[in-house]
Amino acid sequence: MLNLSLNFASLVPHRGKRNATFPLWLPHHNFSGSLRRGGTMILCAAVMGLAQGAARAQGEDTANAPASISQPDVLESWQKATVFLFDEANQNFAKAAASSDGEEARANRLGEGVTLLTVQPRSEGNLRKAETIFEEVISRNPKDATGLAARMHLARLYEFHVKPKAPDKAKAIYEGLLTDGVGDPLAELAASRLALLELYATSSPDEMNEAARKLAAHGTKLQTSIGRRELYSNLGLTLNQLRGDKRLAMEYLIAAEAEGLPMQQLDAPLLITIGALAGDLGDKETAKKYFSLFTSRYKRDARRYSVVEKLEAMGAATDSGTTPPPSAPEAQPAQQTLPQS
Amino acid sequence: MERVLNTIGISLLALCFVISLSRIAMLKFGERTEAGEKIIEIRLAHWQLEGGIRTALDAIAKEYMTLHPGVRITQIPIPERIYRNWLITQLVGGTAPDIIQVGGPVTDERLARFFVPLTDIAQNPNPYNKGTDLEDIPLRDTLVDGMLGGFNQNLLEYYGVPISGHSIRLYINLNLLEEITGSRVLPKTYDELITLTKQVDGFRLEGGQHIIPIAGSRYNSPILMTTLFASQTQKKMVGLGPPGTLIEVPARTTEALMDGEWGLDSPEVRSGLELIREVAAEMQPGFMQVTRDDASFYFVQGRALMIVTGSWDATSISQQANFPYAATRIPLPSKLHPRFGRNVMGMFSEAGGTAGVTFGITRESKNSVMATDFLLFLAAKQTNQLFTNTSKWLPSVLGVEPAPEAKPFMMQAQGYSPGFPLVDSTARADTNRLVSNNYHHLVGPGGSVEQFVDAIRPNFIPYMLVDLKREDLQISQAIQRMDVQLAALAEVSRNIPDDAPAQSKFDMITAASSARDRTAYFHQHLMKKAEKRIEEDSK
Repeated sequence: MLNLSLNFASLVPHRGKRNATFPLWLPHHNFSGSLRRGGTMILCAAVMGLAQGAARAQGEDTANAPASISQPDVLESWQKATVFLFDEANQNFAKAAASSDGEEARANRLGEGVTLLTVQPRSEGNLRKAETIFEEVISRNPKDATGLAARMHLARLYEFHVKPKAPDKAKAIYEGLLTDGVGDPLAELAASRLALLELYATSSPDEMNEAARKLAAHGTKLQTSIGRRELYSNLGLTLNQLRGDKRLAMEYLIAAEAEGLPMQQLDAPLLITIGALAGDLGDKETAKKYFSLFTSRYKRDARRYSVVEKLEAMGAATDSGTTPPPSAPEAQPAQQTLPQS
Repeated sequence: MERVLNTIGISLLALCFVISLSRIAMLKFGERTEAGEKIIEIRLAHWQLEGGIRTALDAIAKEYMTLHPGVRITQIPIPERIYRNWLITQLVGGTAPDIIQVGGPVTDERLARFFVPLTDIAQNPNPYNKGTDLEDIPLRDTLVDGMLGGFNQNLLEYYGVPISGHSIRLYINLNLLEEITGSRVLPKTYDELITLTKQVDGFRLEGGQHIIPIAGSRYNSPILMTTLFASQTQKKMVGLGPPGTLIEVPARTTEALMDGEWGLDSPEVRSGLELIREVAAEMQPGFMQVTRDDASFYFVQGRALMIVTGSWDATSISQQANFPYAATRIPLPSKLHPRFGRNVMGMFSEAGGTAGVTFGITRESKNSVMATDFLLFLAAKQTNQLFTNTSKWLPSVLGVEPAPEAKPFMMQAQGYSPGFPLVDSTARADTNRLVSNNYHHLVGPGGSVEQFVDAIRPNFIPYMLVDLKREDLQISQAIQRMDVQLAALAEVSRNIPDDAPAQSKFDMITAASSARDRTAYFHQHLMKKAEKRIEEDSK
């Protein structure tokens, strides 16, 4: 038996460093000399093909692997995280944090902590490490942008990441951010986060309505449109969902709508909910206004016909060009015979 | 003799060696055009093996290659059954084609990691629409669904461009219809449909062969049964929960179930189950054990008069059936129907559906610029016209005239939202399995609505709770990912204030993140209600 060991990667062009060494056992005594050589050549050809494939794949792996950054830029690492490349971003942040100092190191530590929340495999150790990092970043300066962000992420860690959840710790941080984070787009989300925590913690509709009124008062202090929009959306939609005061819910939703919802998937149901709440409260003008906004904004929506019908019932003028013929829902469309192919 | 054999053997080996070398050389240096330019190969993979699509994509590729002689488009059709495994292997192995059909098996994680966001191209006009009425319109607004078929709600980016619309229809064999009824008049109402099926029951072909009124399968039958059931919950849905429900929202329907606003004993549910039982009796015995292909064979072989399926099967059926057929919407009971009309609002609107056959570009693509260009070409008005003319599938671009064969499948916007299903098959997988596994109590010989309800009642809410717990876990995972993405976008938009796309995405993801939080809290609330309900029921 002949132990034939070849380094095939050396026979083909490749870009990587991986060696493709294949031990081959060739039973030579069963073949004539030339056939044995021929067999060897077949194997050579076949394995070269394989090795080429391996080299190609390896080359592609190398080409497509994240570029090795000796001093990763903080922003570049964050950009990786925006497209879900969390592990790569985490490695870059950790590397950069270790090789930088001062504010740059602190910014990288924040990134390292944030990305640890999703690094695979998810572990309690990672979450504890993230908690330590956030506390360390906060301890340097709790009120600058980096410190405020660390506080926000620490609150989220307590609210949604750790098991068991620690809503009281999250609540305390959000309350602190209500005063310290005014004007910061991320920190101002504390008001809307706090709204959900508090509304779901109430035990009666009256208690919930009262909590909503207190929370809504923060809205006037918020400086960003996003902060106000999210606060009022959470208040209005949750009050409606949990059968709180309809008028309060409607007012908050109108306030949220005034700030502008960025997505059809959120805007369309908001408009319908305002219209429906107004209808229930006997406020026809408000109902008409928001139902009309819905029909003017969303021409193709399965709810459109129902909304048009509500508008017509309220005596509102509807665009006849977009109103389906009254008989349409009852009528069967014309059937067509398909030509035989 | 040995010399001859050796010579042949050596020649063959030499040939293999030369072929192997040339293959390696070709891979290394690439093919070249007559002008000596390297040919760029764009590979496109999809699972649409139904008739029409491959021919249409070939025709489109040919047009594109004429415009770009240095490009070769290679189509890679993969059977749906193995698509998921194939795709994962290709993506992870780094050998994925340039363009891949996204949807089903492509999870959010895979989309984010392996696909290129197309939001930029969605927001700009498609250069291939130059000279048409869509010339200055952003790509997304040139598509019938606003490109929602390619939009990912969790990642808040467009990752694909859909090239075809779709709808559900009842297909009827016209030759058989004429033979059975003496005319080709199609059933317009639910009662006419049932009358027709009764006529089929009493009909025998020459030789005594029995005809199946409606070909059923575990794929086709649920489509019909869900549609019928939803006609009975239309009115109920509008009144469920707090104000604002005009469309089915699984969480809201589930809460209403826990609150006792509807249940297995509600008249609407009973009525919906009666409808299912009535129609299921017109399908072949054991239909829930039959595959989609088998049901299609029954229809194309003329052994079944009708079948319910999507527009995507039309071309395949046309190619295989040797008879003319008609396609119509499923005739539902009208609100004037004496038995089933009291819960009905009216015909369902088909608006709001998304277009399909959605293609995305992989990050692995070595020719992403050319791949993007081909994707834009695919989504152009003129190309989509060629697509519908060749495939006979519905177009996805506004203003494109569907091929005559596709016209019966055009989505009809007029109508009301459908009601809620007994169980949402996507959001409530375990409960759905409970229902499916017990369908024989409803539709089998000797079965009844009562028997079916009795069979599922003990586990209906407990299974719902299992589904809610699983969904809760999924929501938590989504929130955890979104938290990091939101943090990253906040940092990017703070550091680059003039980066409008980053600002806009921060705005969107903030809204989506709040929506997720609301869902998470509401799910916790629902789980508590379900636990309380289970406790009460057990007393």
